[in-house]
Amino acid sequence: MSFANPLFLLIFFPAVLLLYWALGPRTSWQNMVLVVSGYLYFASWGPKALPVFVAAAFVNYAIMVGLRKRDDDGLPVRAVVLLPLGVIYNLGQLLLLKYLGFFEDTFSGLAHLMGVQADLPVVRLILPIGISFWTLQIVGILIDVAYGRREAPKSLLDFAAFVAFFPQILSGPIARADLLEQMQVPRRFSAHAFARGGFLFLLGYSMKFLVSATLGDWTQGVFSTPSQFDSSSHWLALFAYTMQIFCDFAGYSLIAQGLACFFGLSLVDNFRFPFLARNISDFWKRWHISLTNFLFDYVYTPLVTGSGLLRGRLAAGLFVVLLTSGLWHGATWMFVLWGALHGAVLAIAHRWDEFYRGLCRKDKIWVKRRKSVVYAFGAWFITQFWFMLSLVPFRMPSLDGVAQFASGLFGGGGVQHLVLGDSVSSKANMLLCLAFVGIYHLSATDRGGRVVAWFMRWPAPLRGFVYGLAIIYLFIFKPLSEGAFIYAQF
Amino acid sequence: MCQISSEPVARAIAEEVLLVNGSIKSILAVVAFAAATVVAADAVLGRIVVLPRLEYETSDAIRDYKHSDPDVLILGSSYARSLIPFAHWLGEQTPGLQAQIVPIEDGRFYSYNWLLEHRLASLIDEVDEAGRRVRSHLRHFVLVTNPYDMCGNDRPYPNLPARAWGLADYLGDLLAHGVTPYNNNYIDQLLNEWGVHSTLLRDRGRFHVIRDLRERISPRSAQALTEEEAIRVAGWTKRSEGWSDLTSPTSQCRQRDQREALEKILQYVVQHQLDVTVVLWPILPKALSPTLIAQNDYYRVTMEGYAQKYGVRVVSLQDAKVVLDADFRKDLDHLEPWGNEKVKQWALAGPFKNLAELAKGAHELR
Repeated sequence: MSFANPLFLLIFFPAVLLLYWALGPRTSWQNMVLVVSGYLYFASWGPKALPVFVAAAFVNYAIMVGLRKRDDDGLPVRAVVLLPLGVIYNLGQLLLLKYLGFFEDTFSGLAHLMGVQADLPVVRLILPIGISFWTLQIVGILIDVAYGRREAPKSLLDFAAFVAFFPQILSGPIARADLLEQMQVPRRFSAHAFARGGFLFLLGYSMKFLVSATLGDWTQGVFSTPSQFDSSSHWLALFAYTMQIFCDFAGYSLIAQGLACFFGLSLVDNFRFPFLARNISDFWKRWHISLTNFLFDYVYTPLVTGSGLLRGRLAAGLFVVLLTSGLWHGATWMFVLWGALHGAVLAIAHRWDEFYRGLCRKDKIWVKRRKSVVYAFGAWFITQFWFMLSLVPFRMPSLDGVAQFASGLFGGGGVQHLVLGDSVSSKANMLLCLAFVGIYHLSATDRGGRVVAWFMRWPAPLRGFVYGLAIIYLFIFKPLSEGAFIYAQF
Repeated sequence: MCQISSEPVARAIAEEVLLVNGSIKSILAVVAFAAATVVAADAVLGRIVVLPRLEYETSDAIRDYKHSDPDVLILGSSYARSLIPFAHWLGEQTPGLQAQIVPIEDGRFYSYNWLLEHRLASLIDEVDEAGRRVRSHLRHFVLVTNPYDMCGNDRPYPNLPARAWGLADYLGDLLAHGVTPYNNNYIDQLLNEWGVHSTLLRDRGRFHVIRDLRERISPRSAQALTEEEAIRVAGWTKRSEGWSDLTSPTSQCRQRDQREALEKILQYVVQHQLDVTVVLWPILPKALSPTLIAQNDYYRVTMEGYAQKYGVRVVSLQDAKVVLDADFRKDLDHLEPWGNEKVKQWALAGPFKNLAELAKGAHELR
């Protein structure tokens, strides 16, 4: 049940919200509503996988109960046994349900290369929605508890509400212990939170269901039959896809944050104006932040610090983290390639940074150069252009497709041209969608922020009028067939 | 407490929201004015935009069937509604014949059979406590069809949830599969019905608002309209050739489910000893290409084969030249009211002359 589904907007969400607040600020009742609504929401995407989702909360809670007993140093006594058990359960489930087919295909392919016919039986397992997201969410808490960084959840209900909080089931943001802490206290009604929730929801809804869906429909043809389109269409489609994927996921995250506000809860930021980043390291601090933070906290840090396998080898650690990120995104070699490319570039950027700092130490002129407009623009352009190019393997299903699209970028395609639309209104809508991301990012600048603040000071009737116009625009231009949700597949 | 963003500037904006929009009064004012804007715009658009008129739907037909005892059952796709004047004429005679049309938008044989099995059979075969049929008048069955009926290129038939499902069907599917694009068709249609007076709700994604506003601001020339019409007709021809590609051995029209559904329909009505007529429905004559003509011919022969097998008759409006280009709406197979009138005359004078005579003095049917 998508957030744009009338069932969700008109029945499910209002009913859950009403019940949540009607029962008063009592932790157990509020969490009960969140658990039941979370399970209903999960089942709406396919009830068959619900037992797996329910079991995840029960099994992990049981493991964490086992971790409550601590030694004199405050560390859980049974962590040596229970942590591996929990990690194996969670990641094993993820590997089995999401990656089994990938491993089978890879094994069969390798065997075929070696001249061995290895047709493995095709095993079709249910893939629970959002499994990549809620598995990491659970594993994060489990590790924190096992290492004594957090207390184990106080009740099964609190923990189940944390796992099953419906705004983030599908695609995060991947919550950490702070959400669990919020779930352990009563939430009180706040008009401010409702205002923020409404604002974030409308913004995210527009990004995801108008901009992303429109751009997706527009560029679909170029990606499915690249050989028919000319070079400029390839560049335009790739640019539009970059905007699309951002609006798709950032829009979803904003909706999730907005919905959480209605329940008096706060979810972490997942995107922080990534197209303002001037280097790739900064980019990853702004793009899918909750995943990046998770991977850095639970993969990178243990690898490169202490007695980690890659102790002190920071560039190698960065490569491994992005490779993991690629594999996490999807069970195909294209995602692995995408992750490897980003890992390599992040490692190179790290080396470049070290090299440049050396230059700066030798001569202050390099510091001045780094602060120049030319350097800033060049760095920004290279960063963003690289990210856009890297989306070719992310978007295309195979290496052949990547090669075909790459060839099309440089004139190896056909003669068909991607046009903005067949009428003034569709052209205007398309231009607005393309410009939306730019305008959104401008709001993060000082001047843009002031413009938004100025708007916020308008009298309520005028602001209501503007929001009303935005809703009318959505009514008219939001395609009936909801846009494909790119991040739902992960 | 929920936060908007950790970006410094965005956080400043959040603070603005907090300070400026902080009170419930202010929030309610914003919501009220936003809602008023939408409602006012909807009302204005309702006066400017011409939305497709609401048609007689499957649910209307089933409801009417429940409260009647028809003599004639007419089943078909949306174009079966063209027989409404004919049905009215039959009913207006003394004592008249009740003819119940059950149209299903974008129908296929599979949909007709689903309707028969899940909606109509329970009404046709309903018996009272004494074991007598509650509705005993049904004697005639008319199936209105064209080549698309054999070619369900939109499996699994989104028209079923949208037009033929009841709440129980929807909930059953929801419990089994969750919310899917398929069962969402039920909700979408409900929204259309509930929002019957809302232009914005009914136009979602259909762009009539944009088209009509554009036409108001800058009307197109007669030449532009003619060119547009030619492009539209060419498009229909091309699409139709794809939809009803009966003659190709690899065509989706060769899949068995539609033919099996047709046979089930014919078996049912023949078992009930109904007088069965299959009406081959025409499409816009100017859209007919040699390929489409060949497909129509192939379809007629196919249907005649089934007719022979089940002892039913086939009549064709495709070859009769009864309806001309000017009798069609701006689409491929739906007629204007005057086209429907022509169909009525054709039916009463020709293939359904017997019904006309029965209607005029058929006391024996009561």
